[in-house]
Amino acid sequence: VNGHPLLLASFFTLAAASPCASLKPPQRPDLVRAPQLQDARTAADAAKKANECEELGLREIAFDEEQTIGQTMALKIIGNKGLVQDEEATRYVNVVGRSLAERSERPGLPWVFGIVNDDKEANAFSTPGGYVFITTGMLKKMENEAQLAGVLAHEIIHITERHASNEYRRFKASTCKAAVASDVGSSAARGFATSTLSSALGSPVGYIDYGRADNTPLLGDLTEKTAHWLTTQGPRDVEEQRSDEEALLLLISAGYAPGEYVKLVRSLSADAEKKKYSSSEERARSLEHALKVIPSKDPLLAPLKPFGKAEGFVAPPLSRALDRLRAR
Amino acid sequence: MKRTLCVATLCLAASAALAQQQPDKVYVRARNTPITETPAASGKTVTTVEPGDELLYGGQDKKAPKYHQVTTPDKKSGFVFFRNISKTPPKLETRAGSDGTATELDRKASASFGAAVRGMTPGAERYADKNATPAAKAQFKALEDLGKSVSAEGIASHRSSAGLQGGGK
Repeated sequence: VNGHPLLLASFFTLAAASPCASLKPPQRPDLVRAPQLQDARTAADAAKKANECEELGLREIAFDEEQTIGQTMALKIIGNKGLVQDEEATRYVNVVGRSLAERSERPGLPWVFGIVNDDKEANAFSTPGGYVFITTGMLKKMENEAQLAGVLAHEIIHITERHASNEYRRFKASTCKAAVASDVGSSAARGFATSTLSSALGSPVGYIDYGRADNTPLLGDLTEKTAHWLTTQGPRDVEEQRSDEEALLLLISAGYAPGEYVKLVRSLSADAEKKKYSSSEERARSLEHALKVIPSKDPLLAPLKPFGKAEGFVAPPLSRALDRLRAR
Repeated sequence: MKRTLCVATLCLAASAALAQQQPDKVYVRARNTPITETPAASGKTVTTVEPGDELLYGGQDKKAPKYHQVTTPDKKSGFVFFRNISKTPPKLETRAGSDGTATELDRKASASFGAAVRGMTPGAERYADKNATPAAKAQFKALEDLGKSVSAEGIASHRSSAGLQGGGK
């Protein structure tokens, strides 16, 4: 929502201004009434459309739109870093990831997990619709499958909670407003064609049909903005914290020792964690606290703490294929 | 007298809190979840349930607290392992028609529609042709194909060999 008041203010300034008014010769009031009314109608119409754009950003998008934006963002990530071409290791990560995702709140998504070539950065990303990527740098930090599951679970929660999708909606609204506010906007703003805007506004899910060729520039612009947000800013602190805490529940549900995830988080260097909401140590402490209070929040889990080996929660070794990849 | 009243009030408050916590319904969150006659993995399977299925909740088994008593909508009762259920229902998915209409899938369809929609959408395909390198597009498609080939049996087999089965079967 940040930035919307500013955009609205800019819009109203533009709409209210009458171009070169001071250079025009004085006119009789009865002669200027009609153009003034027309200006007022135009301004009112533009203000109405700006409000509709704002409202468009509030509508939760349908899976179909989420899938397309998720795929184009995934293509950008792959284009930047490249995927590891190791079928056995990638299959293993998919098996572990799917085993978790199927226990999430969105089990039906077409989940896919990829390994990104990046030894320098210990990181993981997710894009809407079910795409999760983990870097080779992050894999090198891991000691067992429970830690891998922890990182994948954290990214799965970003998707089930629609953190990037929500950001995409905000960019959709601001692009829409830019398009209705100015005829001289960016090419992407002009790409928000009148027909696209009216059909999106008429749809209960604000649907943009990217199957239409004339919407490809708009898809490109919104992909660019959302992918840039993901790689530079990323989810808000509160969203990161929620993903961490919900990841613990997912790990418990799948049978992994959740303490292993806490251990991994604590081991991550400050550099790897620079985009996260707090330092590794603070995150680890917050996770430890969450683990303590989980039983009081969920009666189904109450008698099972402290979620260790004795209670049946395990930390299996990583697969041989992944070990080979880590040793490269 | 005052102390007795106080303890009684506290007990009432505590039991009220517990009653509030205990759900009426729970939701299945794992594939092929067995409901067993007895609260044990070795118990005879009464029926199997799937993600998104709603079950009436009967409470935790006192002797085997990792098992919970449940009843299916068609009145089949038994026990289910704690990891396979959740008090939160899966989210409902919405699909859009090309004309912008929206259809909310039911709980069952929301939990299983993914296999039918795998692969690059026409919009993403056109975007890839214009903006992505042929190598990136090929890698993406290969990853999608690999995702498609991961089967429920493959996941179950891995869980079993990794010791993740627990009482969930």
